[in-house]
Amino acid sequence: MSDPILPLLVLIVVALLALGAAARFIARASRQAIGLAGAGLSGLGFMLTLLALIVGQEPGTLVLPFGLPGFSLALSFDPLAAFFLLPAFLTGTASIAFAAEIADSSPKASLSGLSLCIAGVVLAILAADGVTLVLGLALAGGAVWASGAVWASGDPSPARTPLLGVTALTVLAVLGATAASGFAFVAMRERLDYPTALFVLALIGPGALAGLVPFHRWSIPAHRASPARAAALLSGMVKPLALYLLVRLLLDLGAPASAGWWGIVLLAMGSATVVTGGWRAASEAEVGACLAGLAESQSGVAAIGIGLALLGRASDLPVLASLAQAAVLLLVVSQAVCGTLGQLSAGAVQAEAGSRRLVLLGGLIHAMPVVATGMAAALFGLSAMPGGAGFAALWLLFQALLAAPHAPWMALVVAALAVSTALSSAAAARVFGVAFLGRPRGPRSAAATDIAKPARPGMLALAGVAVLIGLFPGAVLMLADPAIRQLQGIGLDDRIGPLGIRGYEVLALVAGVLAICAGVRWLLQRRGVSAPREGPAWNDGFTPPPAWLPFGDPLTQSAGGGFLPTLPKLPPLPLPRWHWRPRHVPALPAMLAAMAVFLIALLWMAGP
Amino acid sequence: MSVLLSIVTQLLHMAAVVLAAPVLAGVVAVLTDRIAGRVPSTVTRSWRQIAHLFRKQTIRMPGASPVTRFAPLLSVAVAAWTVFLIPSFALGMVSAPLSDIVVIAALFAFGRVVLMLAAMDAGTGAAAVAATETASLAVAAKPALLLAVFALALLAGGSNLDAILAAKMEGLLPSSAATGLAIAALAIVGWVDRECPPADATFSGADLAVLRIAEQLRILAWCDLIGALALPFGMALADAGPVSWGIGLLAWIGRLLMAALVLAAVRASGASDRARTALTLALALGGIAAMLALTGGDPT
Repeated sequence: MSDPILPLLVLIVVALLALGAAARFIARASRQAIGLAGAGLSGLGFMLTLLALIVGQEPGTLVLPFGLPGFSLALSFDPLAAFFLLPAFLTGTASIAFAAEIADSSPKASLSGLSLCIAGVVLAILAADGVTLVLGLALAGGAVWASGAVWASGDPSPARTPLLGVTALTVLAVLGATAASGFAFVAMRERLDYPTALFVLALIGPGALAGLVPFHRWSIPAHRASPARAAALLSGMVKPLALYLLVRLLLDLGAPASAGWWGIVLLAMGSATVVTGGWRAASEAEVGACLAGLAESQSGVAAIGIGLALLGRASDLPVLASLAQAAVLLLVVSQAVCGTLGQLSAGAVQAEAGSRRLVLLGGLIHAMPVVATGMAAALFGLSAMPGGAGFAALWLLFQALLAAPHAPWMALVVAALAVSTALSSAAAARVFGVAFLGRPRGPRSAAATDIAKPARPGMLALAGVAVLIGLFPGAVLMLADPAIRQLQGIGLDDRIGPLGIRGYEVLALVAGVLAICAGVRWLLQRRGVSAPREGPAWNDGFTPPPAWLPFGDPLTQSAGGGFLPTLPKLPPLPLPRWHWRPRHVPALPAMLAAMAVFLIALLWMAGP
Repeated sequence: MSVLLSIVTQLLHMAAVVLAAPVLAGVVAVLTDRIAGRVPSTVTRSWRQIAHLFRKQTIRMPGASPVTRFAPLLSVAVAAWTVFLIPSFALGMVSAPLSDIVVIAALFAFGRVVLMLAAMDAGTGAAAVAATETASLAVAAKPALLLAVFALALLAGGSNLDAILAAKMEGLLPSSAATGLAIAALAIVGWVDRECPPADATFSGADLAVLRIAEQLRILAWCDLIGALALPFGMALADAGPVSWGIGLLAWIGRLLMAALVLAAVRASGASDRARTALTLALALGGIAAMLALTGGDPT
C-alpha cells in the first residue's frame, strides 16, 4: 500500500457511485452542481492517471476488504490499465459536462447513468480478477442500458435488448475465461494450458461488444435507436472497453499459451469488420449510424492489430507485436475521443436541426459552426486521412504488416484495410458534405441554431483534443510505451518521439502543407488578384432556387446516395432464414435461460 | 557539406517540378492533338489559359462556406507537397526521411477528398455527381494502390520511397515480376485518377486557376512516381555534385517525355470511359504483385 494512486482512484469510483445515487434520489441537488462534481471527479481521475503515467508509477495491487465468501476483490494499477483509463476519464468528463449543460427531458437521471457508467468502466479496467471485472462490466452495461431507457422520449428503446444480450455474453465470457484459474489474473498469467474453448469465449463476448463480424448485427441498430448520449457512451466508452477486454484477455492473460491461429481468427474477423463497417458508414441514412459504422470499422482495424500482435507473439517477432499493439492503443484513444465527439455532435444536430437523417439536413456549417467543427474533427480522426489519428494507427499497422510473417493471404488483410480507408474517407466526406455543406434541404435545417453557449467551449476543447491526437501520435504512444513494454517485452524505443513517429513525420507534413497554403495566398494577394464577388455560378445550367421553392429542387443536391460502387449481384447464399423478433421473445426469461445454458457449459468445461 | 548539398538539391528539385508541371501539361496536350490528328495546340497554351484565369474576377456562389474558400489553396498545397516528396533527379534530399510511400498514397487520396467536399458545398447536381463518382472510383482504386505499394515496400524492406528507389537502382528488389506488376497497377491507378470527373465546375477566376495548377502538379507527381519506380536510371545522389545532377536531370526529362507520350496516346485513344474495367485490372495486378512479394520470388 505504498503508492497512493490506487486508493485515490478507488475513492473517485466510490464518489462517482455516490454521485450517481445522489443524482437519482436527492431532489434538491441542481443539475449543474451534479454535472460539475461529476466532471471534476472524472477530470481529476484523468489528471492523476496522466501524472502516474508520466512519472512512471510502479504497478501496484490493492485487495479490497470485501468480496465473495472466501474471495476478496482485487484491483491493480499497471501501465495497460493506466493507459486505458485515460480515454475513459477523458470522454467521461466530456459526456458529463455536456449532460449538465444541455437541457434534457430528465437531466438528473441521465447524469446519474453517466456517473455510474464511468465508475463501472474504471472499475472494470482496474480489476485484477474476473469477478471485479464482471462487477464493473455489469455496472457499466446496466448504466448504458438504463440510460437508453431513460433518455429515449417515451417508448422503451429497441436498443436495450441486444445491448443487454451483448453485455450478458461478455460477462459470461469473462467469468468463463477466468474461472479455470480461480478468477485471479495473476494465476491466469502462469497457466500454460489455455483451453481453446476459453479463447473462443474471450473472443466472442468482447468481440460482440466491440462490434466485430459476425457479432456486429446489434451495433448500428443500437446506435440508431439510442438517444445521442447513449450512443456517445456506446461508441466512446463501450467499444474502447471491449478492446480493453480483448487486449487484456488475449494479449495479457492468454499470453503464455497463445497460439498463432488465434491471431489469424482475429485477422479474419477484423478484415471483415473494417469492410462491412466502412460500407455501412458510407451508406447509412443517419448521421449517428454513419459515425457508428466508422467506429465499428476502427474496432475492426484494432482487431487486426491485436491479431498481428498475437501472430508476432507466436512467431517470436517482438517488433511486429509491439508495432501492432501501438496501433491498437492509438486506435482506442482515437475511437474514444472521436466517437464521443461525433455522437455528441450528431445529438446536437438532432436537437437543433430536428433530424439526424442526411436527406433532411444540409448547409449546417453556416448555422452551427461549433458543431460543424466538432463533427469535422471527429470525422477526420475516425477516417484515414493523413494528419488524423486514424491514419497514424493505420500507418503503424502497415509497418507491422511489413514485418509480419509472409503468407499469401496477408494480401487480403492489406486489401481489406485499403478498402476500408477508401470507404471511411468516402463516408466522412459524405456525412460532412451532405449534412453540413451545400444548401439546407428543409426549413428546420435552415433555421437551426448552434449548440447552447455553455457547451461550446467543451465541444471545441474535445475537438482540439481529437486534432492534437492526430498531430502528436508520438506523444500519445510515449504514454502507451510502458503498456507495450509490459505486454511485449520491448517498447517502441527510438521509433517514436514527442514530435512524431519515425517515418511518418506528421508535424512536418502539416506544417509544410500549411506553409504552401500561406505562400500561395500571399502570392495571390501580392499579384493583386481581384477580390471575389458573389453571384450565381454557371454550373451546367444550374439556376438559383426561385422564390416559390426556397430550398431549391431537392433533387439537384446529392442526398448521400451513389458514394459506393454497385456490386455485381451474387446469388443468395443458402442460409437458413432466421426471423428473430425480440419484441415477441420475453427478454428476461430468455436471458435467464441463456445464462443457465452458459453456466452449465462453463461448469462442464472448467470441471476436472 | 552533405547536408548543404541535400538542401541545394531539394531547392533545385522544388524549382524544377514547379517549372515542369505546366510544361508537361502542355506537351501532353500537343502530343494528344498530334496523335488524334487534330491541329496541335502550343505547349504554352495551358499556361496562358491559367494566366488568363488569374486576370478574371472570381465569382463565388452565394452561401458558399469556408470549404469553398480554402479548397483550392489546400488542393494545390497537398499536390505540391506530394510532388516535393517524390524524388525527380536526385536521391537523398532533405525530404528523403519524409517521403513515405504510404503517406504519398494517402495524400493523393486526400487531394480528391478536398475536391469532393468543395463540390458538395456548391450544392448543385453536376458537382454532386462528380463527387459521388470520385468516391465510388476510389473504393476500387485505393486497394489497388495500397496493394501495389505494399508489394513494393515488402520487397524493399520498408515503406520509404527514397530507400525503395535506391534498392531498385542497385537491383536489390528480389522479385522483378512482382515489381513490374506493382508498377503497372500504379500506372493504371494514376491514369484513372487523372480521369476522375472534374469537380471544379463551380470555381472560376483565380480559384479555378489555382485548381488547374494543382491538377498539373498532381499529374506530374504521378508521372514522377511511376517513372522513378519503373526506370530509376541516371538518378543522382544528392552529394554527388553538379555533373551527376545534370545527368539525373536529363534522365528525369527523358522519363517525363516518355510519360507524356504514353498519357497522350491513352487519352487520344478515348479509353477514358473504361475506368472501372481498368481499375479491376489494376486491382488484380496489385493483388498478384502483393502475393508474389509475400511468397517471395518469381513464379519461374
